[in-house]
Amino acid sequence: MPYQDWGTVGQIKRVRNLYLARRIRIEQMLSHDVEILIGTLTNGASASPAPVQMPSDADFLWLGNLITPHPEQSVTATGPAGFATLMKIEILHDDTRQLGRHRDQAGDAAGGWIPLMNVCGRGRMPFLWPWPILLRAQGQVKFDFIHRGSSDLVDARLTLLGVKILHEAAA
Amino acid sequence: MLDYFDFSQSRQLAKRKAELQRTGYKVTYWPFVYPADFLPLLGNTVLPSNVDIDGDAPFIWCASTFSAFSTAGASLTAPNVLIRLRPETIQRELMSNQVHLISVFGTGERPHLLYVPLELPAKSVLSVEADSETATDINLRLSFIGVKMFLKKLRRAA
Repeated sequence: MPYQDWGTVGQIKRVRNLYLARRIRIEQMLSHDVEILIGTLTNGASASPAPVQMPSDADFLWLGNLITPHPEQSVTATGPAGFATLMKIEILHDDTRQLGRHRDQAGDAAGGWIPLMNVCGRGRMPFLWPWPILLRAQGQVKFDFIHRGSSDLVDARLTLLGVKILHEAAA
Repeated sequence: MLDYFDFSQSRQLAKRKAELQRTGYKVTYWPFVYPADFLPLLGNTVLPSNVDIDGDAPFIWCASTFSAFSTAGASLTAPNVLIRLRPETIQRELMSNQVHLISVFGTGERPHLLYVPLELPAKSVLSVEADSETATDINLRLSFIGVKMFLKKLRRAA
């Protein structure tokens, strides 16, 4: 059994069939990464980069997430560096939707924060969503970050990995 | 051909989607993450937490991940914590006894996948019990990863 088998190939095929059913001709499907520069965050610092704009010439099938540096790449004498970074993801096209919700054990809801470590992998083992998210051309995704670690998060980058779908309707 | 050991989750999700479509529903999946945070999980203490499923859609739970930190902020890869999970609506235990955290929770790189995704109805509750087996306090964040299943009735359901 391949590890973390979300059936990604099957998912991409299903999306292709969705376009065919709508009589939209796909010109090309290309592996594509969308890069988000988080930068350096000190303990308690937050970052709210401008919303990420999807390509204008294609839809983007968002399959999963990577983070660099990964905590295992920055091991200190006491173990892996602190990496308690939380992120909030909002899809801004169609109706705004969040991908997560935060509620601590006291029932304190604080709106959509997800630990970065829990939904990001790295190149050799990326995190994949159980079901891909199809973002339309020029769609926007907003990310917010807050860092609560013992050490700084330095030059961090979040990568959304996926497939660019070039089709006649988007051109 | 028998799909032995084929626990492809997206195939199972697609199958569920097809079942519901046959009964007259349009199904939209939306990836979603429900948290259960223990901030902090006190040393040698059992703490409960509830995951309240939103009222807008049932949730199909596919995978679970965790991150844990000492109260000073250092990352902990294998905290000595036992976990018990119980979906309140179906009144069934998911385990015969407490199990170790790292047996049923992975990381973003290697999430723990449920062999069969578990459908939790809208407005239901998943009870989580964390039992710390060490003297020191830790901060523990659990993520339940899956999809929200939005249903739209297209015609009279069978």
